[in-house]
Amino acid sequence: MEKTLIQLEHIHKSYGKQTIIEDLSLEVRDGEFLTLLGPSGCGKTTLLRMINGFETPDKGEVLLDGVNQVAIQPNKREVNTVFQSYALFPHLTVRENIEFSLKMKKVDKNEIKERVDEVLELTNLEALASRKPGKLSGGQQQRVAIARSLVNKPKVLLLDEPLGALDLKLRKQMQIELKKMQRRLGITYVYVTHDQEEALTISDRIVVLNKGNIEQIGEPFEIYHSPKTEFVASFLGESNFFEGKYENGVFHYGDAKIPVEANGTKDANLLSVRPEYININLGKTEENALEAMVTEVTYLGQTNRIELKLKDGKKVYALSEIEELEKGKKVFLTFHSKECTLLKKQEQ
Amino acid sequence: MVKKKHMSNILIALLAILVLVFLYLPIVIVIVYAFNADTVNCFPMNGFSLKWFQVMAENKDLILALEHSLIIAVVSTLIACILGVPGAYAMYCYNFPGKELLNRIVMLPLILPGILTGIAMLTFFKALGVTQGMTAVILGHSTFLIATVLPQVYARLRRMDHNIIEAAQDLGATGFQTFVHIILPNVKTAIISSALLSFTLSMDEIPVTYFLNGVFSTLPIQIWGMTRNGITPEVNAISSIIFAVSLVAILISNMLNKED
Repeated sequence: MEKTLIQLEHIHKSYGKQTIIEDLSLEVRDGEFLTLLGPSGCGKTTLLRMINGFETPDKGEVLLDGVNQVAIQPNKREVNTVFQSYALFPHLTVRENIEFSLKMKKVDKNEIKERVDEVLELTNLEALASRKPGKLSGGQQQRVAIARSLVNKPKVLLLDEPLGALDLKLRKQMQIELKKMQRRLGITYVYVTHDQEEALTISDRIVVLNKGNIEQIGEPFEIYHSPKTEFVASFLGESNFFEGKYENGVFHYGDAKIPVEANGTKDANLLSVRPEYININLGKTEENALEAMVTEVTYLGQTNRIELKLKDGKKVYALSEIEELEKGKKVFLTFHSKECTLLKKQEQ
Repeated sequence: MVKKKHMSNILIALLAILVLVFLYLPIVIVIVYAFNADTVNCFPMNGFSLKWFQVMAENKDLILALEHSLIIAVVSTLIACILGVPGAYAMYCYNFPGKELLNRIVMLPLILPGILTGIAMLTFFKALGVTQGMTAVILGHSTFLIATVLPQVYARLRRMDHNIIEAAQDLGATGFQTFVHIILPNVKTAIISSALLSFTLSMDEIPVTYFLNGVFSTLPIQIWGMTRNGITPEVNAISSIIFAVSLVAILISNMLNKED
């Protein structure tokens, strides 16, 4: 059942002298929710536009169900797109917007009605069917955009930052709705976002992109807990980085010896520790503990975000609920040895 | 302070009224005289009458000129739309060198003195072998009417969300289907409003027509000829009608432009 639906093979793309994507290959499995995650300018939207046909790779192939798509016009491809701005047709009602693709393909009238009704119900838009897009809220427009694509029964639904324009609360709600709908329909989703939290919440697999290269592909848990590169560790969530050397279960950072239960590459020169895996101790409980001074305490509700300074001046962030922590207090840090990740430093 | 501001408001309003009176009083006088019972334009009038409208309707030359004008206005407006709308769409869709220049050059026939355009076209048409007459006038009008259609439609296209074109293609529409089902409905009001404006511009055009008409007459040229021997009340009558029709066309054009 883990069939490959989309294959991107050795894709190259540049605009003028600027190379956007260099030799990128990627497979999308049938029925999965795949997210392309990366900062703006990383090439994620360009990749999406190669799948829907609005961009052509300079070199390389785009295969859908084994068929090369590069020479196929966007209107003939069996994929549909939910655009960032929704791009609803302002002169048509919700129902007419949804009917559009079926009418263009000259589908039988009765079938159009049936399929449109079905999608309207699925997206909870029945009551709004006769309204024009201008009279809808952002979330409702979003649902119309999705309904308009789904009515086509595409092999793949491409979503280009579809929640970008919504406020936080609605965005969270829509994330869950999107995920639920995808599970129910079993359609493959390729989702583009720069929001790492969103990617972790909704994806089956995440592709982390940076400067047109794939940094890591994996399930959300794996990406968060075992980042393979410095970029992934810093882009998804927050992390503290220590430069040093790894030898036999110990990471040497300056004079300090930090015990690490190997997670990552053996010839590492960088240690990544997420703030939640740093313990703050008021007394020196362990020989290897790092001495630090609290420089800032920020209240986050459930916990506090503590900014600390090591003796060599390095800043470290940790999370702690200890109440006695205040500016200027001397503390000792220990790390969860299993949750530390060994990395190779990347050229910036 | 409040009082001062009040005073300045009144002054501005007065000034505005004076400007409007200066602009429109002559037209009002023409309309009033159109209903004059007298043969001479003088005040006070000797009574109200519709007889000049009847005299006008019986003036065969005038009616024939009106027919010519209508045909010219309708046909050249159509040509201007048929060339101007796809032209605007092409400018919107494709980037090519000199695009901005073209956008301005297209406006040239509107900005240039009509007499210049007229001479230029006469010379050009002569060279092409197009004789003076209805066809020449229609061609002449169409060229400068494109200047009202293309920029207006182009401006509307630029205000449209470009993504809806990609969305239409993504949903399976061909280029032609996209143009008919998505582009046209979205620029419909711009087309109608520029067509109405074109129609009025063509109806009262004299300089270009004068160089190209040859032997036949259009309404403004006919009226102009009639006034050489003094203004007769029937000229007032036809002027009133033209004014009313133009006013309605421009109001509709304005209303459509304000929409969306």
